[in-house]
Amino acid sequence: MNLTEFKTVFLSGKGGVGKSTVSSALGLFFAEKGFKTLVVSLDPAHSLSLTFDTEIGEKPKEITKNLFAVEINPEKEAKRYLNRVKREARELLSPVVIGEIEKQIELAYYSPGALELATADVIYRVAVSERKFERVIFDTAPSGYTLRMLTFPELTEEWLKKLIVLRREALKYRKMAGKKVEEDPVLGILERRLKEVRELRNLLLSPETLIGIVVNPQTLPVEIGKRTVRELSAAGIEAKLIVGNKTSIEEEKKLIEKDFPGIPKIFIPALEKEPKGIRKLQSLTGTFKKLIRT
Amino acid sequence: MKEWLKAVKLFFRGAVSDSATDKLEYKAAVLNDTLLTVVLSERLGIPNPMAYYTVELLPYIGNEIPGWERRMADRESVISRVMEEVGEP
Ligand SMILES: Nc1ncnc2c1ncn2[C@@H]1O[C@H](COP(=O)(O)OP(=O)(O)OP(=O)(O)O)[C@@H](O)[C@H]1O
Ligand SMILES: [Mg+2]
Repeated sequence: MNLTEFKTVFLSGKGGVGKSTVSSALGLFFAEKGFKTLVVSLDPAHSLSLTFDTEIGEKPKEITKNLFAVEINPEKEAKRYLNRVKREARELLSPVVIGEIEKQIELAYYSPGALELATADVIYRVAVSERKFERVIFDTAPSGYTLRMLTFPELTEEWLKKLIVLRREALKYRKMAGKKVEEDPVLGILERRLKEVRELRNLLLSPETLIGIVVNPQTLPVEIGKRTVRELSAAGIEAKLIVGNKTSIEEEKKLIEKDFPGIPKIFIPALEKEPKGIRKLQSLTGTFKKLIRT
Repeated sequence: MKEWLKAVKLFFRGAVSDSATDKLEYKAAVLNDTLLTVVLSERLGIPNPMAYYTVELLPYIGNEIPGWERRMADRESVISRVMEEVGEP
């Protein structure tokens, strides 16, 4: 296994273990190998602005040759989407129903799962539908959140299929009753969602996608990493890489090797100074060549 | 319970269908109402875990809501009438 074979990377792990740092260094590694690479932060905190030591925004910014970074806030994306839906509702609906519906659209922002679904929408857009990069690395938020996001497609898919069947059948009977049935935007939206959900699941299960877990040689990060491996596996997703970050001495490496048998690993030493900016990140890219199998 | 359901179903059919076209339209409405009920489940006090997705349909089904509400209310009144006549299941 060679890490450059993976076209899309997601890094999971407990808060503060070094997901943003490792994503940035891995992005630099890919870029050095000649791949046009995008590192994506989906975290409302400006994590990549810190690791790359330069202001990064909502549009991909070139950091160095072949390397781009972007910070996307799923909360903002959710608001933008719901505003668009509200605008469409105002254009199309009668005054009798619009009040209640505007309220319902606004409340959807606070509905359970909204942020996960908004995050999934961003991932879909960046990694699938509008993909402009040969390599895309997601520096995801901590584990539980990430997992819900990764495992929902199968649930959603069945549910969408049922709604599509209901609508299709309803339209069929309407037509049989002699009513004119035009192209149906409801069916269009449901089918587009189904397509997105399927493609997203395919992306997550693809052999070209790497889901890695970043840990530190301490109990809590390791335990959370182990839980993530189990939860991923329950969802049919394989954790393909363990990054032992801030892991310098042999003893620490042995510990992590024992805790994650059978999963390829790389180790990144704890630097004295925080690895910020291209220069310092460059000193870490060599570690991605030393893949350890145990 | 089965008998009771059958009675309710018969009651519905008898009340609305007198022609083949009516039957088809009725079928279409029942199917579509199920979809609307999913999208509008929060109005019935049932949380919808996909609310973030389903609101996108509202601009295109919103005008179907008054009909849905009417039929839901009718159904409730029909069911309560049946229950009075036939007894609780
Ligand atoms: N190998 C390393 N050596 C020394 N310091 C490191 C190393 N890796 C990361 N750090 C430092 O540890 C801190 C946390 O790293 P980072 O922000 O990458 O973690 P994170 O997992 O993305 O955190 P969060 O969960 O908050 O997003 C930062 O200050 C970073 O500079
Ligand atoms: Mg981070």
